[in-house]
Amino acid sequence: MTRWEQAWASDVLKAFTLDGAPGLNVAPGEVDYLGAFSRMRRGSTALAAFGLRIALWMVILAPLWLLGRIGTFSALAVRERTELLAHLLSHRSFVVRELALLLKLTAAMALLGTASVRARTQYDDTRAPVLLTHDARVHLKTVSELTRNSQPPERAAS
Amino acid sequence: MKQLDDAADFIIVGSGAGGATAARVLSAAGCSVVVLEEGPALSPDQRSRALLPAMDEAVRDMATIATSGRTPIPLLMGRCVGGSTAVNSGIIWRMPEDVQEDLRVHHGLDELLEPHALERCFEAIEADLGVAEVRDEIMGGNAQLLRDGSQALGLSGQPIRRNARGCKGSARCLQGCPTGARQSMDVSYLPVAVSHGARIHALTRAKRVLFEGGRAVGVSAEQLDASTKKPIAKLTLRARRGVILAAGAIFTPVLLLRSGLSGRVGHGFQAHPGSAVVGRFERPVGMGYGATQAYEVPLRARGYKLESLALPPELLAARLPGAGAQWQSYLSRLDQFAQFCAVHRAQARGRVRLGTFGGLDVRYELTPADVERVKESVALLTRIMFAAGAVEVYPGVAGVPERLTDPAQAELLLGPNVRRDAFHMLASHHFGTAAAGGDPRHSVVSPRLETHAVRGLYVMDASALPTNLGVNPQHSIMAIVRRAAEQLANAERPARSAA
Repeated sequence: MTRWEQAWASDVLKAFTLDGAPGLNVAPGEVDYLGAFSRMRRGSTALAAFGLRIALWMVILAPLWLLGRIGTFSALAVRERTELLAHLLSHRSFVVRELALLLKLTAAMALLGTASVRARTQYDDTRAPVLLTHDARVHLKTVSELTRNSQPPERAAS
Repeated sequence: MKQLDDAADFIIVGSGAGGATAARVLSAAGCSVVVLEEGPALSPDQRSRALLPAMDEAVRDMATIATSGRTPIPLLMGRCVGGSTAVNSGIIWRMPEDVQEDLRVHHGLDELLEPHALERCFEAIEADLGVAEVRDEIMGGNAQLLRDGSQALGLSGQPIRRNARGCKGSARCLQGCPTGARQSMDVSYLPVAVSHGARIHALTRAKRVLFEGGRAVGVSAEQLDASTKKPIAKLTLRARRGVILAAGAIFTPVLLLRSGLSGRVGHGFQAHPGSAVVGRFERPVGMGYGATQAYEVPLRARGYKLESLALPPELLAARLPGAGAQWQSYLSRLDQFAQFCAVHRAQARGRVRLGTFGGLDVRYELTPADVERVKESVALLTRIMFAAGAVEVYPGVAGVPERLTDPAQAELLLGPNVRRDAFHMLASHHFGTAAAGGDPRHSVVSPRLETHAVRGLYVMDASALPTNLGVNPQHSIMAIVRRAAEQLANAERPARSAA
């Protein structure tokens, strides 16, 4: 991704939430949106990673093709950005909706993947264990782990 | 690049329900076994609570592999030691009688599915994995609402039977059980196999099956770097008695095709596509506590099963409508939401084949009848959600209001303008791409799960099931593999293996 695209990714993912709106608020710099976007791309198929990039371009150029305005998404006022995203999420085209949803999923991964933000959602129930408590924990030894820098057992033994 | 070799009586590709069961049975019978798994070995304390790293580590391509029809459906598959059993909800269902009958009568699987033998396999697996109904104390608020709502509409449901010993209700099955309670293959059958001498090569991707004289004699593979997933070594794994493919109904046919097999390989792909409905309640639901899936309403005659499904907060957030202030108000009270899903026994049949540049192409389109059933199930879930007390329901269906506030609005979901592309779906159960059968013209493997085309090459996963089941497939996969692996272990060794 180019530096332009990285900046766009942050702009777009941040815009799913509005500063100062009632409900969940996010402090500046609290969430690593770009990190989540990069990890999503890295972990996806080549086609899906390409789709994420296309989604980004689709949103960045949406003022032009959706609103008929000269300028990019980043040039819009903050509130307009959020409204535009909401519009894309309910667009009549399946492809547009799915690409916008992919970005929303990435934003949600970034937001809820941040422990301090997650703590403010009240999702976690104190009855649910956070730490490993089971007595019968299993650590399965694998050949790769045992022999990453040596020979597998059968050959080593021969 | 470094070259490594290994050898065993059996080389097994895949460590999920099929591969781990084969490894357990064959190693216990005194056979030497090597298991290849493309993903890493993750102990319970290495499983992340946050969804992004959890999926990156354990889910194949983060579920971004999708069918290639007009409206793609993402395919969820595990890629870690334990396979999909390490990311599923541990739901255990015996193969339904009507499916058994169909497979015996129409596919020639009388011997594989001999009723007494199958019963013995089911019982043994259930004992091994501690299968039991979800206890009341870990039912969780989400499942209780499905129970209450379905009962209010006169539908008969039940607590789900799961393979979890001492489940603490972490609601983290997808991310990986943090307590090791769920008896996925990495904490149950594979440790037993290892205790019998099996060796597991994690982070090892099978490339193709090797043949000599019309017989499978090994697998060429590559070892992957844990962080970059790039190849760091080549492996040649020699099989003295056989190669067993258990890479799932998507990647087993890919391996067969890359190894030069053809015929019916990849044909007959079937799935259980799922759709879901979210509801908001005025009081806390507590989706973050309880068994991830704890209550179900089987509606087999209608072609689907309803289930409670507690979503990780990341997926729940993405599933809630809108952006901006309204969305943020939802996010501040994620404890007030419930989600139910419908899993469909779709009639559609597709095909897995190699795509351009050696990639993957999964052709699959729901039939019009399937789409009607999806509409019906989502409308029913909406009514159940209201009957349980929801103040708003979010069906997630394009062309229908994002927020429904009255049960009568469920009718909107049945309208003629609601088409297939209005729904978001996901398919986690895949079948039929190397089907078993007595007739080589219509199947890929024999009733003993050995390929018709090549001796010593076996398919032991859901690829071999000729049809979808309408119920969660892990138990059926394990039972048929247990049966076939026992037959294999008892078979006379080829003369050359003694050399």
